[in-house]
Amino acid sequence: MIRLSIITYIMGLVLSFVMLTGVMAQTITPEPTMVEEPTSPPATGYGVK
Amino acid sequence: MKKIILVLFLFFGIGSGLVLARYALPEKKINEVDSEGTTSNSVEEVRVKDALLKKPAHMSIPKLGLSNIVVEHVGMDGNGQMEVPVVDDNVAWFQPGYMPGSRGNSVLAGHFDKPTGDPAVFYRLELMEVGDKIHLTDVDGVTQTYRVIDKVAYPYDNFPTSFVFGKSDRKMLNLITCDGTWDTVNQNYSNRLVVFSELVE
Repeated sequence: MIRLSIITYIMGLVLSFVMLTGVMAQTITPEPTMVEEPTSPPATGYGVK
Repeated sequence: MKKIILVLFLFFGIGSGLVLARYALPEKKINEVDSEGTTSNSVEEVRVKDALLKKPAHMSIPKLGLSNIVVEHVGMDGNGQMEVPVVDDNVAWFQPGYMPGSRGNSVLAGHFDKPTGDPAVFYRLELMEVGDKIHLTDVDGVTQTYRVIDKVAYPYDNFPTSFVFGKSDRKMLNLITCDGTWDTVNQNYSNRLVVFSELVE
């Protein structure tokens, strides 16, 4: 009974630890999914410098 | 009775795991005085800065006297060129690219001048120096602070698009405007000035 209780305790501890660290890590450092790049930079002037 | 004890142990384990996980997370701290003279060393504040912004709404650059500049969201035209802000006093975020706060190069573009000849929003961008701060605020009012790390003028015909818009291990925010001389034939400035900045951590 004592051994079973200890195993149950450790299971709960490990599971919740892994789940929370995973969720928090994703929240703190989210990775972008898919990005695009233009072929040329923007035309940000009208020639009156 | 046995089941009750086991369930109690399970809940105790879950509780201990949550507490351990909370304290096991790395606590990053900053302790610096920014250009406005304010000091920040709050862990919670850093976590907010680390978090991905929702779509950016406003930008401020104290060094240039720019405050709450509206951020438009643009894409590419039919030729694959990054579009520009509709209003010359606004800046434009390249929406198909990286989100500010994520690892990669997010980009804001602003006009150098206006059709009237008056200076536009990034007319004085060349005055930015390493260490200057850029503040970006999203639609919910969450603000990130970026620190300028470099400033480079590239020829338009040899612009390193992937370097400025592409992947990076750092959380970058790059500002672009026109620079150089006006090419009357192609109706275009010869260079593009890029100010590279990194999320303050």
